[in-house]
Amino acid sequence: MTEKKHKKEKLDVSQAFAELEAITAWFEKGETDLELGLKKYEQAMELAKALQLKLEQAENKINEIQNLNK
Amino acid sequence: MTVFSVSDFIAHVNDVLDRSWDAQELCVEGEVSSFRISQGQWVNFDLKDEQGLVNVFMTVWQLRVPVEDGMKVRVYGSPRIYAKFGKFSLTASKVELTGEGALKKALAALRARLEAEGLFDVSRKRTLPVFPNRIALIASRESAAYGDFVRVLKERWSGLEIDLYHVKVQGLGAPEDLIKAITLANKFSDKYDVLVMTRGGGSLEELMAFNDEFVVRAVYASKIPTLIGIGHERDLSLVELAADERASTPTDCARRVVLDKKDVLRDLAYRTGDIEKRVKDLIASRQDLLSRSLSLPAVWLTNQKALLNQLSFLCGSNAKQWLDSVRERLQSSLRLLRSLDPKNVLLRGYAILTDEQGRAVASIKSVSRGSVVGFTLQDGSGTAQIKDLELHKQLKQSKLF
Repeated sequence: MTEKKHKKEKLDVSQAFAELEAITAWFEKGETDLELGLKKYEQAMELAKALQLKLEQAENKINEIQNLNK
Repeated sequence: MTVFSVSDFIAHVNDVLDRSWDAQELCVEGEVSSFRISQGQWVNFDLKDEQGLVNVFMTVWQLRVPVEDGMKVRVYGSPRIYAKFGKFSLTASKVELTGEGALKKALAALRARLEAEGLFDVSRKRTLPVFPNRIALIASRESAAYGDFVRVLKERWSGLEIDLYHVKVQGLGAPEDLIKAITLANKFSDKYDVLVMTRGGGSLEELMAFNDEFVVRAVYASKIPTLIGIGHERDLSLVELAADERASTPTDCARRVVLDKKDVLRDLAYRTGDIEKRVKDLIASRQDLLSRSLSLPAVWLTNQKALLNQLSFLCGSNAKQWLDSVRERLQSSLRLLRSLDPKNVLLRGYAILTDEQGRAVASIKSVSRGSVVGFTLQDGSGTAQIKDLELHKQLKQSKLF
């Protein structure tokens, strides 16, 4: 559970989208393994939820770099 | 009365000049003539107007703008007598071009030179990451450009980490600031996905820091992919040409650096919807397969039954036919047999002769004169003695068959 949470906090949007794309491609190939399909579906839904959460909740953080003139 | 040696005198005058001239605040404007570079490192030219002329001396590294005779320039530096030759010069730390014409001309020359060197080559442009996480932003924190960029960024995307490298974007020290910022950000090149440099519109003179050769080179050398938007759409600065991607305005910078989350969420919904549909299809196809698998034995059984029925029907009708034919054949055989019954022959007046063992006598050769034979007629039997025998020739022949 903690690992999952940790994973969510560190969600790499680009990687998540790449994974989603791979899952879509898997289904598009017309694979017939139902068990794997369900696993992939679950994974896709988790990714989508995490992405949505990230985009809807997180703010942009701005830090000013101070040591420019040192 | 004080007596100076020549070198003391020069040192004294230089000291007076130093104290009376604030190099940070003062500069001399004039037209360039007799411009020359010696030994690849010393720059010499005369700065003049209608009434006067002063020699300017500096190193090539301090000269940031392409200068040629006839150009109007501002020279920043200190007045100084060069002791060895007693020559009065303005030792310059910086030369700035003035007047749109001169600036444009210089810019065109620098652009051509950098272009020839390959700094603007399209082939080396990198693609910006689609989903950046950390952005190095080089801008002035007080500028409208910074405000616009951050606002539009916030509207479009979330969860970004932006490091602001606050810099002077015009005037003295601006190019140095920009170079420092680019260099510093590149020290952490691993942590940034993109380097954004932006400022709003201004006159060509105000935007000159973004045409500075060394700033352009720093952008060119950046390990972090660069996105630069300076001024308005019509303003094209040399740093933009050297950048991996050019934006027309600060707002355009924000639009180019991140996707709009509304579009992305829509895409996400479409994508998950598609995956959901495909899973449902997969489940349905499995169910279909399952029900087909289950119904298959039943179908087979039904088919077998039908086949059996058909076969037994066929069998039934064939058997009847066969029986009929057998019966028919039996009847005709019976008829034949009946017609062949010797008793029937007796009815027509014939008799059967038998020898002593009761065997039918079919040939005259089986009997002899005086032997006793049995005879049977249709209604009785008896014995008789052979009195006479005659072999019929014709009969003998037919017997042979």
